[in-house]
Amino acid sequence: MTSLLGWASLFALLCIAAGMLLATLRLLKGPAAQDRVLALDTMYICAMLMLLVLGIRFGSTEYFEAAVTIALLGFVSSVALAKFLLRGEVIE
Amino acid sequence: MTGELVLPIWADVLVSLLLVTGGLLTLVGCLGLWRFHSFYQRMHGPTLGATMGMVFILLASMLYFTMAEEGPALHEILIAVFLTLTVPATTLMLARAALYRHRRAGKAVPTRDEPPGIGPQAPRFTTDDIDDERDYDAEKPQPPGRGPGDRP
Repeated sequence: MTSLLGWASLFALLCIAAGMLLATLRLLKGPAAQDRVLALDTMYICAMLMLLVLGIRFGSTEYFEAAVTIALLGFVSSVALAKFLLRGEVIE
Repeated sequence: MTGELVLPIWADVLVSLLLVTGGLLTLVGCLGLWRFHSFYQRMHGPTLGATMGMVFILLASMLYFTMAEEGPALHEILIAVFLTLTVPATTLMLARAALYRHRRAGKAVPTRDEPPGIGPQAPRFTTDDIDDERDYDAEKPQPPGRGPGDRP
C-alpha cells in the first residue's frame, strides 16, 4: 500500500467518523422520536462504510462480513423502530 | 497498515479518489441531518451517504480487492443490492410514521391534494412550516389566516 492510499483511507475514515458524530448529536438532541430513529439509521450506514474503508486500509476481507452483518441488522432494527413509531407495537 | 499489496499507480489513484469522494459525500449527508430544520428536510440528508457514498466506497473496495487478489471481487455487489432495496423501504416507513405522528399532534402536514377552500393565493405548504426547533408559542402575534399557517 502506498502512502497515497493510506492518506485517502485515513481521510475517508475521518469524514465518516465526523458524520457519525453529527448523527450522534442529532440522536441526543432530536426533538422527536423519528429524528432519533433517523439518526440511528444514519449511524448504521456510517458504521458499515467505515468497516469497508477499514477493510481497504488493512487489506483484509474479514471486515466485509462484519459490514454485511451490520447492513442486515441495521435494516431490521430500523424497520422495527419505524413500525413501532407508526403502530405502537412491532408485531401485531 | 500492512504493506504487502502493491497496486499499479492508476488503481492507487482511482481507489484514493473514490474513497475521498465517498467519505466527503457521507459527511455532507450527515451535515444535512444535523443542520436542516424540519424532519422532512432532514430525511434527505443521510440518503446521500446511503446512495452515492455507499456506491463510491463499494467501488473502491471492489477495485482494490480485484487488483489485490488476482480475480474479480464481486461480493461487494451483495451489499449494494441489499442497501438499494432496504434503504428506501426504511425511509418510506419512517416518513409514514412521522406523518402519522405529526397529524396526531395536530400539526399541518403535507397533503397530496390541495385542501378545499384554499385558492392559489393562499400560502402553500412547505416543509419549513414544520420547524421542530422553533418555538412557535414564543412568536405568538401571528397574522390570522386560513390554511396551513393555522396551528393549535
